[in-house]
Amino acid sequence: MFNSVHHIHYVVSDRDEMVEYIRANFGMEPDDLHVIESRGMKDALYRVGETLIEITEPLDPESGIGQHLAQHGPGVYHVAFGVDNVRQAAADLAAKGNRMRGEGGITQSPRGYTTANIDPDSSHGLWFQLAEG
Amino acid sequence: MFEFIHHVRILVHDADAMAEYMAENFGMEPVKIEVFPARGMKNAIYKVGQTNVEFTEPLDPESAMGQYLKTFGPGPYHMAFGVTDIADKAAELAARGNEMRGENGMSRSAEGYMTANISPSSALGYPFQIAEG
Repeated sequence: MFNSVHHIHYVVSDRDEMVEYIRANFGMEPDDLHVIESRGMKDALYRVGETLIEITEPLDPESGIGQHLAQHGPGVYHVAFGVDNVRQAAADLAAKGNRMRGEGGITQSPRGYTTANIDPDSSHGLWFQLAEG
Repeated sequence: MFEFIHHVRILVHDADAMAEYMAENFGMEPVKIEVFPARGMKNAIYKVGQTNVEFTEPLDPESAMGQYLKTFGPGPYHMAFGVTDIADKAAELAARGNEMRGENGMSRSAEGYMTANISPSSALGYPFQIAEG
């Protein structure tokens, strides 16, 4: 079912410092820099092969991603797997007994792609996210 | 410098149970399931697009991976970016002032590929790994 690693979401303490580090050491420029106020995220995006790397500095230390940074330090926050027809995939997974998060098991990302999220209680404690678009 | 996502390591409590979950829910079979006694891990490995996804069950609860799993639960632990000419890249990174781990900045992984690891103290707290092979 999974045809790619769709995106990998990183959390860092300071986005601009990380962008400068990546430029100075790996010679890579971000494809986009933006702030998503509604989600409290200051982001840098890089295309690496078939995968989008999203680097986020949390703007609210009390948010889920802000608490993740406080507890884990900088690192990988989550991984999403690419699928065809994410709505059908979400329906199939629900029919197999998985509890899905979000309305109809589907969530619209602020970046425009669509995700389906399996509640970790259904999947041995691991948060699976499927993505399309 | 980064060409694709070489691999992603996701910690789980039980590699066999996760492989069964993957088969039942996503219709996906592992490339292999292998125990590495010297590294204290059991891996179920999947090829997803360009990327190897390794579900790793730590066999030693006192190891760094074992403690991470106990503290934070299942989830992504680590990832590596694919490069070409890794020995040259490691030398370049050292020349730019990064402290590199391992002999000459290089390590051989349990799976046979080569990695170069930047000390987190050089990279804003994040342990970058590049890999080839």
